[in-house]
Amino acid sequence: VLGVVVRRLLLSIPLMFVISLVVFVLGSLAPGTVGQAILGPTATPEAVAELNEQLGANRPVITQYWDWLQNALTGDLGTSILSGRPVTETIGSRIPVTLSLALCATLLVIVLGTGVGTIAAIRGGFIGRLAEVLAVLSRGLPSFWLALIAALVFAVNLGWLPVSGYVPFGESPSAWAQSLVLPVAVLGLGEAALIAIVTRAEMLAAMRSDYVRSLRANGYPWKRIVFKHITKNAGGPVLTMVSLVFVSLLGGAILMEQIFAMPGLGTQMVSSTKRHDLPVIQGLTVFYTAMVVVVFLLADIAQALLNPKVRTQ
Amino acid sequence: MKPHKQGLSAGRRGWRWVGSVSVGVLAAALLAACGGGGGGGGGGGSSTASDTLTIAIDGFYPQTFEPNASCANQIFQLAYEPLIRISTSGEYEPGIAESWEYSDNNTVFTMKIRDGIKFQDGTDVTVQSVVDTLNHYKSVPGVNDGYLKPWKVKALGEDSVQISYDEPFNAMESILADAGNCNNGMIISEAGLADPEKLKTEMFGAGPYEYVASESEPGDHYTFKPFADYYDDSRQNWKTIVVRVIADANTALNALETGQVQVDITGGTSLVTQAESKGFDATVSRGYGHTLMLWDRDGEVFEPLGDVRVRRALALALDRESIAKAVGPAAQPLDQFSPEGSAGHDPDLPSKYTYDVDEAKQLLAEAGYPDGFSMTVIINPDDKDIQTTASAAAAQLAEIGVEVELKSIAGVAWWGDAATKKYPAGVASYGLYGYNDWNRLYKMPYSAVWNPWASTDPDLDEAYNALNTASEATFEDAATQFNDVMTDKVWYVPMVNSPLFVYSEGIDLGSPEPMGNFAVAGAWTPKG
Repeated sequence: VLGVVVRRLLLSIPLMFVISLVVFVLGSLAPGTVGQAILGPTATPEAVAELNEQLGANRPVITQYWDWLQNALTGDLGTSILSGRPVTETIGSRIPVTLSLALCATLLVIVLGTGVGTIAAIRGGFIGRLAEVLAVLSRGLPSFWLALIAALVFAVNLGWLPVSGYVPFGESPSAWAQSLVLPVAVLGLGEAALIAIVTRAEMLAAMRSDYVRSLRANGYPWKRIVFKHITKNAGGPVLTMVSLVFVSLLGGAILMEQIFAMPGLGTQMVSSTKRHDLPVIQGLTVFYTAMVVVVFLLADIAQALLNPKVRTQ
Repeated sequence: MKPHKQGLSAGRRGWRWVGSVSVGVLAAALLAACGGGGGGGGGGGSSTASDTLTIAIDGFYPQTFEPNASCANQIFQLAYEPLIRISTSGEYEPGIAESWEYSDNNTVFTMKIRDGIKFQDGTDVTVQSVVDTLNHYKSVPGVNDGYLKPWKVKALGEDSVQISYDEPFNAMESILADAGNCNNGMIISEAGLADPEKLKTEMFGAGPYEYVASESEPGDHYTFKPFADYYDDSRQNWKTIVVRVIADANTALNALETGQVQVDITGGTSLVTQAESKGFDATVSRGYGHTLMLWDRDGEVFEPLGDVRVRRALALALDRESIAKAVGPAAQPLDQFSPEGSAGHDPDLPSKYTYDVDEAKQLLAEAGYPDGFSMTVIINPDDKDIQTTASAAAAQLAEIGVEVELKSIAGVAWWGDAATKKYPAGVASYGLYGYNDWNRLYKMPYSAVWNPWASTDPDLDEAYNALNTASEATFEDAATQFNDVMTDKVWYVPMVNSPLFVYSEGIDLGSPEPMGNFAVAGAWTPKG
């Protein structure tokens, strides 16, 4: 397992470097300048140029990147050109929102997805088909539409849940949970359907395998076969899919943060991109990449623990 | 069959187990959901107490607390004290400037500075504070450089400040008041001026409310509490004011309906029917003139526009009634330069551009374009109303043989490209980005966006100068005259007046000033 961790970590270094460079170059190629974004259409071209110079935004891209990289290697992701706030501080204040969304949605996905997938595989027949249809249906619903409808029904009409905002866990655990229910449900539903479909397929494949037939022929209890053998063998691919889903949920959280007005990394990213705040865009992107690397690493470790073959690869 | 039966039985138990877990999780979620009394949650902006006012603002919130880098916003109105305040009736009233006056030719503006005002850091607001702040705004790049850079600012005796400038100008109130023209009247304490970097992250004002950083998350919500030493408690009607950023207008309206916010200033024309059907107050803050801007008036890059007959033909070919219907229920046709509610608008002015396709075709033929022509018009796709207006106009112009290619340029790049003189025309709104003073569209000498070729015209010069040297008594006549001349020249083809709404429930906001800004939120009162 240690070997897997070391290999993955070594691979992540060039990955992070390449991604940071690509983002920096693409960000600097975007039309417009930060000076124009701040001063607006009524500013003189001279004022825009002067501001860009003051902010260092008119230096060569490679110089800007090199400065950024040197600082980033010491843990300093820079300072927002606009707000003057350190990027690490911005990440620190906003990561709880995005992680709350993504982790709770992942939990929902695991419980709902594997639950429905397992039912569909084991029960077969009408319930199995119904589970499958529901899974496909929920996967097909556009999440932004679902979010708007859910907000109208559960927040506006029924008044059960807040329609917007986020309350930190430390401030009020119950209000925190309330603020998450709608975005997490919307975010998780489609991905749960995906996991359900994969779980069902993997379990059916395992159930048709020779060793299961042998175990059944030898009179092993079905429950034990399912939960000890089938789930373990089907679990590997499902686990990989869950790690991919988590990454997808991090992306989906951006939309939910916008719709439900939650102060997460996604809303910050959208806002900073609109205004050409390159240090913030860069810092957030690198942080997102680091999160993805960590998630995949954890998935690999889990795979290695589940499946001895992986450890030798 | 036995194994199968056995399997089925165990499978049922497994299903029950999975089902139990699922139901348990859902129940826990619901329990949590119901645990704290619904409708709360608001990113620190939840507001059920009657003494808390929560205001929703849109996604274009100030990215920095640096006053000169931002425009009208409640955040600055609350924390900073301006030289001139907007009253709840939409008039200008004294702020730090106790009184003010123009010289006879409108080239000198003199303010008497109020004594006894304190900054929130405990220091006194003085004549020197005012001079230093105005000189600071002059020294750094800012939104209003075109106005500020030529100013000469000096202390006049111990209690007055004088601003002098070369060109006559009679709208100083709009520059120095607490909204409108982007914070250049907000006075900064010595500590803030001494460390301009800190101005980005901290507040150094003398306003009625203090910013509470520990209860705020910039970009999400900003919390304010009353400043104990403020000189006028009629602007401190709330124990707490929270300004929340809600980027989505539908979400903001939902937040208003569920009581999370009491005032929604994120919404536009499109939600007015919905807002009114729910019983909210929908107050027009300002009109927006969606306009075909014909920039290349001398025909440098696109010859046809150099001929006024062509420009008039374009104006005559537009059926403004149908364009307004396409934009929204509150939109109105607009066929004169000054929209309703702004200086110089004349509701009795006979239309110069009544929809007339035949006359438009005839004018084109007289100008040498009997078969029409093709032209490129740039639009900013971020503004959906503009997209709708431009598309409808393009379809109508095709009727007279003018093929319009609408080129979308998003975001900040639109401004940059408009200023390059590459494009002869664009569709935009007056004041689209927070700037709104119709007559000055002609001579924003610094604005390469609204007037890329810096065009001038002797008739317009005359009307503009008359307007800016006008006294209070003659101003409206001069503005009407300017509107008439500007409409006649067809540099801009106004199409639709689309109002911007503020939605509220149970709050008396007062009336906005002509540029659409309300009094500071602390002066708002609960209705009844």
